[in-house]
Amino acid sequence: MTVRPERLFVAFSWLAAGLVAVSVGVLVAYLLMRGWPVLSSALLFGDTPWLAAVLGSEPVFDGIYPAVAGTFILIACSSVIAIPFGICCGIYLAEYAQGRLKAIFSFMVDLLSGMPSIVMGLFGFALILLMRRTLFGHANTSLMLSSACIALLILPYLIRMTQVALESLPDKARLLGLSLGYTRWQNILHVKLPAASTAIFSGIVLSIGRAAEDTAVIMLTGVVANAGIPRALSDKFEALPFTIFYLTAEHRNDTELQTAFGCALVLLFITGTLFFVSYFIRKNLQRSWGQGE
Amino acid sequence: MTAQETAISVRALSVGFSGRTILDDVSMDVPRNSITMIIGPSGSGKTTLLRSVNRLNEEFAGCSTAGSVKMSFSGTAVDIYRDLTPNELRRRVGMVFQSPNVFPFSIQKNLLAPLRLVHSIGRKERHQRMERVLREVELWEEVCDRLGDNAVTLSGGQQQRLCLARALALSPEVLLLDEPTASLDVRSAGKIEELLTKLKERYTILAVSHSIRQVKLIADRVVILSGGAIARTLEHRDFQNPGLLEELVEEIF
Repeated sequence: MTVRPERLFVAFSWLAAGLVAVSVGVLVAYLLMRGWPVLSSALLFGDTPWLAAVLGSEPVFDGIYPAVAGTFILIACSSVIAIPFGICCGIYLAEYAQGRLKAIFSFMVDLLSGMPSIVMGLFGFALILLMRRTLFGHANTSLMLSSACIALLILPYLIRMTQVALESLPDKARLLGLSLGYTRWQNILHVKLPAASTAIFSGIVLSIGRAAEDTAVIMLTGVVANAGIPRALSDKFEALPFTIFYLTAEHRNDTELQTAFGCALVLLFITGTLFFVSYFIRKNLQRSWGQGE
Repeated sequence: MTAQETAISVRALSVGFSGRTILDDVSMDVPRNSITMIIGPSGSGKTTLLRSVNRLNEEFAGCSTAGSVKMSFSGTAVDIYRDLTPNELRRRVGMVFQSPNVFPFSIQKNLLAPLRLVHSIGRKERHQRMERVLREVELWEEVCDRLGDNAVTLSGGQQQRLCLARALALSPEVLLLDEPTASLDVRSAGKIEELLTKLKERYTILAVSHSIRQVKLIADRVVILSGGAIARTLEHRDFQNPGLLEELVEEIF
């Protein structure tokens, strides 16, 4: 009677998969139920006319627009820092690093990717304290600091995606440029990177999603409620995940809690869109290296 | 034809990967302006032998090479492992892979990009060379009005001819072909075979083949590999005897 355990196992697997699907379904349905009614331009802009708000000519008091804008600005700043470093580091690990050095660097990247985001936030916070006590008396938590810490948080994703994309190219792609007499650098730049670009790009999109949703890092490094839209890198800023947190934690009435749900839907929409963009890139643009293999 | 002049001379060549011997003490000569074909059972080291001539084996981890490969470029013999860097060597030795290996770019860029990167020649000459080599591999008529199309949209046979054209564009002296017709239908294979017979007038060709029919049809010399060593070397006149090559293959494989 070997059939029985197998059947039990299959049934449990079905149940497990079903439970996941149901959980996600319930979660999204509940978010929609609570958040949908408040989704309107008033949620974003309050009483301020939207054009004036977007152009920055009038401040937004009751809407979450500054948090949306803050999230996008944070994403942009941290990407500018993390993407070049991440990709170059990935190229180094895949193409140049060897032996012991490669093992050490890989271990460091693993360590960084395993670091909890609150630790990263604490590190940023401690850095500012140190700076204030030493050379920079006026240093303060800010958009710049948050961006740098978020960059550190997403760096391992970018490094690994680039490294794996380059290392998993088929031999025929790897050898082609070399067989034509390309130098190692020409082969990386003109053959391997273009061939790996879809995977690298979808890695970038996913890491942007990670940057958009993190709360722990920014809480300790520069985000505040009602900061408005930042005008400089040294300004404080607002961000969607933090807005959700403080609206929920400190709500005085049901309307504020409703707003938090609306906010959550907007954030879910942004990260969901990024996820689908990444999925689309992988599915549709990855026709790259011939059919013959 | 100066068939006896040697273009490539391999002496006591042994190649291993991570301690596993693939080629063991191989010595052979490849005559200039002729087609030399390597045949042998799978795992006998055919591709490794071919790749030792453009030092592509070194791109795999744990590769160790002993012995010498000398090549004569414009009359001067050079030891390709001692006197040249892999890049200098590969710029003079063209290679075509087993399955068509085009860049997933336009047909035009497949030819122009290597010319720009490897020889850094001017735009006008690049375009002239592109047309010349496409005519040489009889592909020009088929693609001249769609040079901007992605090369992967070409048929397998066309792609393989494009690969051949790309190698020729860089003006090599030696062509290495790794079972160039293995993934093609009979018609496309026939076309490539016809081309190779023409091309040997100007290039020295060393090819791995999987087909006795092909060897009999176009090879001037055949090297039979078995277990990483050369089992037999036959000249054109030898293997034209009906049944001889088949018998040998039966015995060795």
